[in-house]
Amino acid sequence: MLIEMRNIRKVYEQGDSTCEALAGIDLKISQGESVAIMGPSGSGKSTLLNIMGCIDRATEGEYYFDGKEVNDYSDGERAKLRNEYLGFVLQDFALIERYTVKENVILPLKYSKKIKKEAREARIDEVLKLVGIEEKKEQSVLKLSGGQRQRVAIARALVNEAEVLLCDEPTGALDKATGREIVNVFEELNKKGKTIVIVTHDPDVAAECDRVIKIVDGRVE
Amino acid sequence: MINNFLFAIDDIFSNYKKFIAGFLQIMVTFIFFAIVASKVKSLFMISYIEKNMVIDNEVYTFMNCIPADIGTVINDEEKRDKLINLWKEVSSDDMLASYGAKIYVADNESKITINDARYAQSGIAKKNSLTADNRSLKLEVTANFFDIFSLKGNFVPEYKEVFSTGEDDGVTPVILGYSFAKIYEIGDSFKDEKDDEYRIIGFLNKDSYYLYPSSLSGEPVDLGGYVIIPAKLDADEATDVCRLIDGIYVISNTPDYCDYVQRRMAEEELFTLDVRSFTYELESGIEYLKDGIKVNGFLGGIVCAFAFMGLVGNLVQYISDYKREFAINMLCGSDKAGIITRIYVQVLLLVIFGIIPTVILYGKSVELMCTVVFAIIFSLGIMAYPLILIRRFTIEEMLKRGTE
Repeated sequence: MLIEMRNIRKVYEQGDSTCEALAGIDLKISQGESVAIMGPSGSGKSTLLNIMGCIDRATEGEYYFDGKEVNDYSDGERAKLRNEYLGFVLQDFALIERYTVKENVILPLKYSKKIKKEAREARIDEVLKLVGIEEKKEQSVLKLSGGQRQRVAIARALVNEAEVLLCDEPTGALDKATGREIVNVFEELNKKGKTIVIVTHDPDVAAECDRVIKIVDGRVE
Repeated sequence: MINNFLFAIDDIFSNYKKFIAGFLQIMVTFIFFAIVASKVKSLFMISYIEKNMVIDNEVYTFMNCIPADIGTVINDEEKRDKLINLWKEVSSDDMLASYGAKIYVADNESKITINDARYAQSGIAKKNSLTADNRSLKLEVTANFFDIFSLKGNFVPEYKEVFSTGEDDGVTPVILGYSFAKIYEIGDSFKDEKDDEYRIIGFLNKDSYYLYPSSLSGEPVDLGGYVIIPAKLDADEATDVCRLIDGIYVISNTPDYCDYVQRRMAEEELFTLDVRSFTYELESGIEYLKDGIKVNGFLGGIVCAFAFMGLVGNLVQYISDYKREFAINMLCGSDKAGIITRIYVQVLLLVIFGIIPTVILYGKSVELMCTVVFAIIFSLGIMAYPLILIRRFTIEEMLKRGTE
């Protein structure tokens, strides 16, 4: 099992009051699976994705990634995990706008020794070709359309050979047609063995996944 | 680490105007700090002189002659003869013997080049002279100079006699500051640029200071890099006599001898001399230094406070502007320590650039060392609040806030 969560709880404290975002989540995701996480706004699906992506820590519970409990990992260990095993695709693309496409895509490689320096250029070309924007390599991301930006984000997520792509509303800022194209990219990647977890409101996107997990009030329905 | 350094450089180029403003603020702060450190150092030195000087007798000095007067006397044959005769009279007067002794300190600006490879390679001259040339400061004194300031060191046993006698077979005995002890030994000889030969008869200890006669500014001289040779004076030369009056200390229980010289000078219509006790000179020097510390400390404190607030403000602004970028970097594999390093590298570069003018002004010195320590504390102080700020944020928050 690549991802396994047991009784994951997340409680936010604001002054004297507390808010329980996740109320005991149990889930398992296998290598190569594509999973959609759906649920109403405020149900806790993004919080779940953040914990899965080691961006946030669970208040309680156990989180195993590739058989290792990672909830108690140090900041540095979690950063290494994000760098080497996880790729993020977010609704607002999370790109550095003053950078070019190449400068954005190379970021994970700067924190990693997985791919040697001399092989980096070829790797960038490879992922850009995979997402279909190889001709935009030297362009500023500011000059790209929404769909192209999301492709850059996917390329960045893939460049360091991530096992899992964690996507938070990846089509949320795109028109229907462009969103469809991005979903097709995910399908292609999933066929190549990538594990894909997508948080979405869009039933059409969810329909393309192997499995749908519904979250309501911080629990798996 | 290299990545964070490169990111920091990139950030500096992106915000170079703020970096330059920060550099100017920090530079002025460090210069003020170095000035205050220099004054404090002088205060310690002068206090050291006060503690260690001969206390049984008061030391009196003649105030500096007015240069215009010197010209008038030297250019007038009659006055010049009067001056020479007067000096012969007062210097052989029994009064001096009964009251104490006198020492002569020659022009403290004179310099000497030691014509020797060890000296040239050692960098001693550059270190001590505060000038770019390769010469050391030279002091011509009489033997009792060492007693007045209780100067200790490693000397040949008969150094006073040798020093009083002066040249021996054309070789001048010389006592050197402690910094020369690294390259020379007692008994070594060297030549100067005029091919005059000197033989080393001793080295001074590290804390060897003196105060030039009539120095009310309280800037004591560290003799560490000085070449001290016996004073060569020709009492038949009016210019030598003028220099003698200008640079004399008289050890005495009373200022009578000085009063006598002063009165006689007035009678002969030569110089108008003032006499000052050394205690007064030391006290006024201490007051002068204290005032300097107060004024520079106050101004430096204001500049420091503004610089501190400005730099903290700039950093907070920078974090606010860049937090989304930090979050993206963290998504890609950076941890918070990496982000903090990226910020601290910028502060550190600012501090390093800011301290360069102090390095140029003060060289390798106590002032510089103090400023470096201050700079490290200052940089850590600047980082304190931004550090708290960055530690408080989560990646999620930084991404969200950045898009607001």
